[in-house]
Amino acid sequence: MARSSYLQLMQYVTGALLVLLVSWHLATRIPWLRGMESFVETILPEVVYREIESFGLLLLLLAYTSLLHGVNGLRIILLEIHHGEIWDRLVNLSAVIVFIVFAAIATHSVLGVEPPTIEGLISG
Amino acid sequence: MGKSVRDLVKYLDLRPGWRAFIDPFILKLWNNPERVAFHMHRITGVITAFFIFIHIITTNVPARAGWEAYLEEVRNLEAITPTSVLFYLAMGAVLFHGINGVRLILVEALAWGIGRPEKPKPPYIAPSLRGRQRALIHVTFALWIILWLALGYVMFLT
Repeated sequence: MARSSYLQLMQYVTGALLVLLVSWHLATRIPWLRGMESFVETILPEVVYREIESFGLLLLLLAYTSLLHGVNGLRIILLEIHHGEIWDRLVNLSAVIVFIVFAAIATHSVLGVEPPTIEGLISG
Repeated sequence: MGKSVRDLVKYLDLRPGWRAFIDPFILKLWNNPERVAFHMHRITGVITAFFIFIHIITTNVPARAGWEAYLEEVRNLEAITPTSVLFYLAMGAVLFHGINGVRLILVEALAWGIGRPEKPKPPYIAPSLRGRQRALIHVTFALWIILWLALGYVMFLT
């Protein structure tokens, strides 16, 4: 693992970045900012697909940054509540695995999505 | 065998200090908004982390199972349902963690509002419990409640 001072610095940097990214992410769900009338309209398939198409990279950055910040935060708490060499290794390894697995799922969400079809939406 | 099991049990036993995270008699929150903010930052951080995991899995539905399955999820957020209430509670945790995070960056990383070093004189009150830092904590809580209510309006009343 990297030096803990670097990881703490990373926690601050990702935290500051997340304030901006999450504010943008939440703003995209405010209906009046997008000329819509309700919250649910902002999460309909065609709107979400357009968002993934236009801001896919930004959404991926949001996912990776939030995962880094979240997983490292949980790691810090777990390392604080218990001490031990095996425990430390177990927690650090689990943190890396959890990050990789969820980052892969997030990447698939953006890269593997197909455009919504009219038939599918009508039947849905 | 017996020894190794005993060692494992001894190893898995959390150190006594862990109770300080949850025991209300040890937390000493009374008249100490900084402590309240610290513990709430931890609690909301854990909730937010698990929310991120769930959110990543649920937003994978269009790519994994198609948009029809995603529409089923959207229906759960259309009215006041257990899903939408849980979502709203998680949003509260995200908002508090974010707003308090900005305060922490200002105070811890940028040393904003800490003031100059001074000789300790009785009564010994930590800088985090008086002056600009205390006001900043109150602003954090006020802003959190206002934004959470606004989010509730957007989610349930539009």
